[in-house]
Amino acid sequence: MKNADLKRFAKQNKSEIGVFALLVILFVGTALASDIFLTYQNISSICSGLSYYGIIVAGAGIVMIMGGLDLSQMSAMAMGVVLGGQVLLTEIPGAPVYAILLQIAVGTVCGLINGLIISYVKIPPMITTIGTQYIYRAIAFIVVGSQSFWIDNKVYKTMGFGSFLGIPILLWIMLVTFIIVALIMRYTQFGQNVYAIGSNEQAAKLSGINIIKTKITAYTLSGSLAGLAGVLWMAQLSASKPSAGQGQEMLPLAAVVIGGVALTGGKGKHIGIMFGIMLLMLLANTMTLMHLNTYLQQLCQGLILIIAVVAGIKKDRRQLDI
Amino acid sequence: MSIIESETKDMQEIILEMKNISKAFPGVQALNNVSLTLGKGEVLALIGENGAGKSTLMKILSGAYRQDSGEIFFKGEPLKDYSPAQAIAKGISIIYQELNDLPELTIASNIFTGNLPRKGPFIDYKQLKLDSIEAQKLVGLGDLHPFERVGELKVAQKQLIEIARSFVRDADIIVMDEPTATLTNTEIDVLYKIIREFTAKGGSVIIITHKLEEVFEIANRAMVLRDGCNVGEWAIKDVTKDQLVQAMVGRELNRDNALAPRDFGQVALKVENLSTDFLKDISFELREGEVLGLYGLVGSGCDVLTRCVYGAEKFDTGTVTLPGGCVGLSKVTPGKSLEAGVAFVPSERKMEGLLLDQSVRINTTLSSIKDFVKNFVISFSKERENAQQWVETLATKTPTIETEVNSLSGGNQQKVVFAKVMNTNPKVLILNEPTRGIDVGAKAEIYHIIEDFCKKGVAILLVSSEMPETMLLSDRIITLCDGAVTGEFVRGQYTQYDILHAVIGGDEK
Amino acid sequence: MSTTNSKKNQNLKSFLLANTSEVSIFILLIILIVVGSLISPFFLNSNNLSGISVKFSYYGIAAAGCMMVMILGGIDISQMCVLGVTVMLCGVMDRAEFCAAAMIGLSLLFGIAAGFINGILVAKLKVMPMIATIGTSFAWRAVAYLVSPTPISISNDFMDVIGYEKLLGIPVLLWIFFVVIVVIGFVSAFTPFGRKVHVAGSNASTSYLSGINVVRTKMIAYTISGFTAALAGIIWAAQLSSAYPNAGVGYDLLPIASCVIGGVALEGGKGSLVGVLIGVLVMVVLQNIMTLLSLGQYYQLLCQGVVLILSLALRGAINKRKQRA
Repeated sequence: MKNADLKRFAKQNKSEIGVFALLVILFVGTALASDIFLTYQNISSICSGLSYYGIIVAGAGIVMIMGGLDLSQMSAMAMGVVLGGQVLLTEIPGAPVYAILLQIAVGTVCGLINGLIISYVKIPPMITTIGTQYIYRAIAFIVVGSQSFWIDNKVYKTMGFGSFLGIPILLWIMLVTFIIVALIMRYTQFGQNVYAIGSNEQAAKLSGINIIKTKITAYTLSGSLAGLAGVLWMAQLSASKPSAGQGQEMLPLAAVVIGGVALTGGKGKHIGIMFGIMLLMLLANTMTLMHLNTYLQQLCQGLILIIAVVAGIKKDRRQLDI
Repeated sequence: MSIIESETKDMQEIILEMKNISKAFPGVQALNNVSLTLGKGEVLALIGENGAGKSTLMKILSGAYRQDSGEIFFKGEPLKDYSPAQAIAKGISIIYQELNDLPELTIASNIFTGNLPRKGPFIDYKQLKLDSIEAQKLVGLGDLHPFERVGELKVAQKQLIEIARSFVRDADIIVMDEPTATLTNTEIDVLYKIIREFTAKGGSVIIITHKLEEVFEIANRAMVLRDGCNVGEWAIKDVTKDQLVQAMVGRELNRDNALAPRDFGQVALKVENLSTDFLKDISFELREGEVLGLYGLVGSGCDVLTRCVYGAEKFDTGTVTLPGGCVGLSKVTPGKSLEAGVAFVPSERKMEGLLLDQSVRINTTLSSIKDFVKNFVISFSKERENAQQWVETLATKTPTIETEVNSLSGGNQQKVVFAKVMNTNPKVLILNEPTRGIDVGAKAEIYHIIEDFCKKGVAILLVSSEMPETMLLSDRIITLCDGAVTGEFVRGQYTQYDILHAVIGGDEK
Repeated sequence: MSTTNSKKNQNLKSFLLANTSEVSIFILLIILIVVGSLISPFFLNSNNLSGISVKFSYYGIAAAGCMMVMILGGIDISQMCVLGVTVMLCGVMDRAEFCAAAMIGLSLLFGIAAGFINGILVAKLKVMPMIATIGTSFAWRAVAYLVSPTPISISNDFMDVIGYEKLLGIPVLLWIFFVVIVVIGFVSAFTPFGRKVHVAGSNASTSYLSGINVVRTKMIAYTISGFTAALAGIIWAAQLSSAYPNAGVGYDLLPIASCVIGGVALEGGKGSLVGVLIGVLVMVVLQNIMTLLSLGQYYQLLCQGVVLILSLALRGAINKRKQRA
């Protein structure tokens, strides 16, 4: 019986186990190849990137498990970063609290708009969120021009550079958020509805799941998490600028796909998604350590995305060759 | 009918009443003033041919469709503008004909979708596991692990999971649309048992079925629909099988439609040892002018087999010899098959047979566009002429040849499909459910078209889920069960029982 | 008299009904032109108009290729990045003193190859078109920077002819544009290939089962899209006499938005080149008006996103009404 359980576990977690193995191999390989890799500084630089991208992919994971897509997260984050930055600059008492709340609120509203367009106007998620990606980014730029602002605030600084029990606070925030999201996905009716919609939307509808409500909630959550990621981003970079996250729009998608979520939805777990983003951050670090030029890194990212997606496509005998 | 109504009222309290329901789809009136009543604790059999409107009526009840006119009363209260979710919440649960499983999710999640046991706000997986085992035992699947993925189960098991799902919902009414199509006899007995338990507790069941034996086994009352209209309803004790058949068909099956005996020509299509992971070593020959019927239950592999022969799906081993000696390896594509003279009418007319948002003209020349090309340019005048000709030859009812096929009725749409395949001058024609969702009149016309094909020496491979149709049209019938051939029957040398026996595998009692 | 009039009216009515999307966007274009000329005295200035026509020509060429892919039910987001690489290739080849024919030939070859790669990904490997082309667009933009992160100036006589000369009073680049448009319009409307694109976009399963080689049709369409992107890139380079790696950045959605407002259905199967060209004009004029109002580049981003979503929302609403009617 135990053996059967183990077998089922292995079968149902094939992709997660695969990514984890890849992660370990890359980690060990880089550690052996580079002396700098295991230094405190290098590891903590990986961790800081991991912190805000981790939160973003947690959100991307929700919508993608649902069979949707959110390409506007980075822009929503930037909008939050710009507006939050403006609040911090006023230096009114309690500014950091307002700024944090505002950033999350901005992300939430952005996500809500996506959700409303997708579920009520019925424009495909890809097109909707690439459209809003442009719109949110433009608004961020229009608010402040292309200026960037130096953020010098105690609360944000502590968040960005402090540590607790030897682990950066940023990482704590990310881990807690990620675990909460993972728990929501597994242990709430909402989370299971998301899986059901991703698996077969028609069937989910017929078995009484409120599709529109679930979709709007998922996209809103994705936006909120993007807003929260913006808080960490600002804390870590001590800056507020409208180009935050620009050019990284596909990173969450790649991480989620690598983490074992099918583009068609229904499948995948947040633990796998976590491995996925860790793998990508590690890879980026490895490339930097190898002194690869940024553009080459970007090229690699594009290729990795394509390879991950291609590898994730299952050929079905019944599928027509179209 | 009024007598029956008053009788039911005396006998039991009425839980559901659907009054004068009408519903039209583009080009077809699916339901016309249909009424239905259902008593508490009653099993009502809803019967009728394909396209009679049974599934549409039930989809209206479930909230998936909205009626154009008519009212629904549930427990005496009017029900208006509700969603499937609200229907379920009120106690109306439906098992659909098409499988509605969530393949990536576990058995337990499938059974309890939208209604998972909770402790506070959180799902209680321990409880879920226990509940699921309980529900699985109900349908005889107690030995499967509740956290197995449904995508890995067999079709019959999936169907049983669906059934379990609607029984755990605390429903007052359960509707089953062809629940037994994929089940074996033992599994059907389990189903009967739980239906009886359910009605004994005061639940009501509407069962849609093709199998009349089933009606007499389980139902209290039968209601017949034909072409979207009420034809009649009877208490089971007062009706015979023949009466029901007569009501369903509307007339005696017209035996004149059967094709006259002919001499068959040479072998036009030869399939040898064709196997996939599902189909098992299938061989047969088809001669010019012959109609070969493939018959089996849902999931028996008839459809898959025709798709493999046509090249729409890949097969692993075996050969398909097309007309002209062309040997089809598993690299055959529909394009190559058409070139060799094999044409295909798919069962899913709207999804695979037509371009719904394009004109009759474009659909007609879809497979033969290269015949209309002159100097690299499409000759629109020739194309229009051709389309117009087919509209006249087949008496297709369409305003113009530029009308989108979307707005035609099912029968006329199917004529457009036939025009498309006829344009390729096929030597072999594969027909999948050629009359599905078509009214009786158009059916006869389609039969005539098929007959014309035969007279011209075209070899026809026919798949139809309607046994009378298969028996009527086929010179020879090959039965399939679970992907293997279980019998071969020549016209006039078999009984209906022989075929039924063969399609369930032959050995089972 | 009155009967002929009413007949004419009826003809007009049916024409308007059949071409609602083209007509309505044409009206939108006229409104924009009126607004433009009211807002700025420079709008109808010949310099400004020729600026508009230059942009119209390269975006129009790109959009024509994009249209092919979109009628097929696909999407190509990588066009502007392919354009970026082409521009850079022209730059380095000019610096290496390649002859004009080699320069143009190799650039076009690159476009064909880039389109072909998208075709393989989408048609053979069955990657969702949006994901595949976003992936390649990342890669191509990186390649553009890898070719040279800094601008390269181009001084080639033949390129100058393309960029600045006039033939029969019309700029050469507009001639190129006309030729491309006529060819693509012709192919799309009158040839079997054009028909295959339409039917495969309308329903790929039906088309495949009816003997159409959907995979090959898709490959060719994506290749055409890459080719037009490269051609647009050559004109871009010729017109600006310089190559910089961020050419086309921020305009990735412009061809798609043009197609969508021009009446190409996102699900495929429907669309005409006339509509698309009016769509491109609308986008370019809109852009121009914003430039004249000296609004920053970010308003262009905003505008592309808003136009895309609004026109889709509008189309959805119209379809819903049509269905109800």
